[in-house]
Amino acid sequence: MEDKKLNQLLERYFAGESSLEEENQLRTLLQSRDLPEKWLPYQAIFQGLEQEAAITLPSDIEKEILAQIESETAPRIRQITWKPLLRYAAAVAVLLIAITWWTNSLSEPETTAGIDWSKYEPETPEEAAKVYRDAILKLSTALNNGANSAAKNVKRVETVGQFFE
Amino acid sequence: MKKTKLIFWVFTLALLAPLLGYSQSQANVIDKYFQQYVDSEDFTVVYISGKMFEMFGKLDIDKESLSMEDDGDMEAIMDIAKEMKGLRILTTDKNPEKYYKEAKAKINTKEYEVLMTVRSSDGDNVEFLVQENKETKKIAELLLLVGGDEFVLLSFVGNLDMEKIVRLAKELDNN
Repeated sequence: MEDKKLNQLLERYFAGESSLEEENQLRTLLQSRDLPEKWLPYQAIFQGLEQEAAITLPSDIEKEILAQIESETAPRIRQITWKPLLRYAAAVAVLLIAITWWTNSLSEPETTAGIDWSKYEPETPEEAAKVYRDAILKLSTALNNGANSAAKNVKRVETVGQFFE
Repeated sequence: MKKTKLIFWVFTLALLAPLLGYSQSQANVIDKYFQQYVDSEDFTVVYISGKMFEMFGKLDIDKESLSMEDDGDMEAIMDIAKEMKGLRILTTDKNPEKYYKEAKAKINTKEYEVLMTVRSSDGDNVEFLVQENKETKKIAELLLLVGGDEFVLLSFVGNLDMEKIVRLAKELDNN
């Protein structure tokens, strides 16, 4: 009877189907002193397992090991794929060119390709000639004023210079 | 993957498009300083084209019609007209100092060399700027900027001989 029961319990135990209650039963049966000889190897196995389970690590060692495990990070696997990188580099280059142009263009005046100058022309060549005459006279006057002003300043510099001689 | 490529190229073209436009706009370097003023109602704008200057030679414009007293001055003025390809005039008496400063800031000194800056006793600021034609070594554009009671911007475009202009100015000063 005991043999049959032990056999069933062992089968279930090694198949991983035994419940905790069944495992306790098995342990009790294998610990009995009048156990037939054929079951002794199983008794040795269970005693060994019991002894191993009873071993506990000192708490500080356990903590140390756990801390060491936690501090270790999984090795990083780096895979460099050049194609997307080149694409991004090209995009960045284009972006830089555009930004350079844009910042330069801020200091440049606006373009005026669309001006229709013809609507500002005098109707007759005679009128145009008078406008041109006035413009050239204004230019001449300004040039003369500039030249005279420069001449006066040179004289002033010469006069001041005499005091230093 | 195809979609990513398409987005990339669209993005690239979108960024390059203004660059293409920019290079084309460089050809019209004179006009770019004038647009915002030309469109403003505050300004009086006059333009004389190269064709109009060509017509001066064919017309019998005498010194009386131009109220000039001296034949020599008249001839000198018409001689310079032969070298002219365009004249643009912008004037306003509204905020003249503001416009003067603005125009000075806008004109690229890499393209235009400052010939002379004058501050007259009556408070007028005058600046001459020139752009040289590197092939002919003559003046491709002469700009006169005036700021005072009035803002004046004169742009003489052509193949101008600065010596002729200075000589005429001296003659007129002596008269």
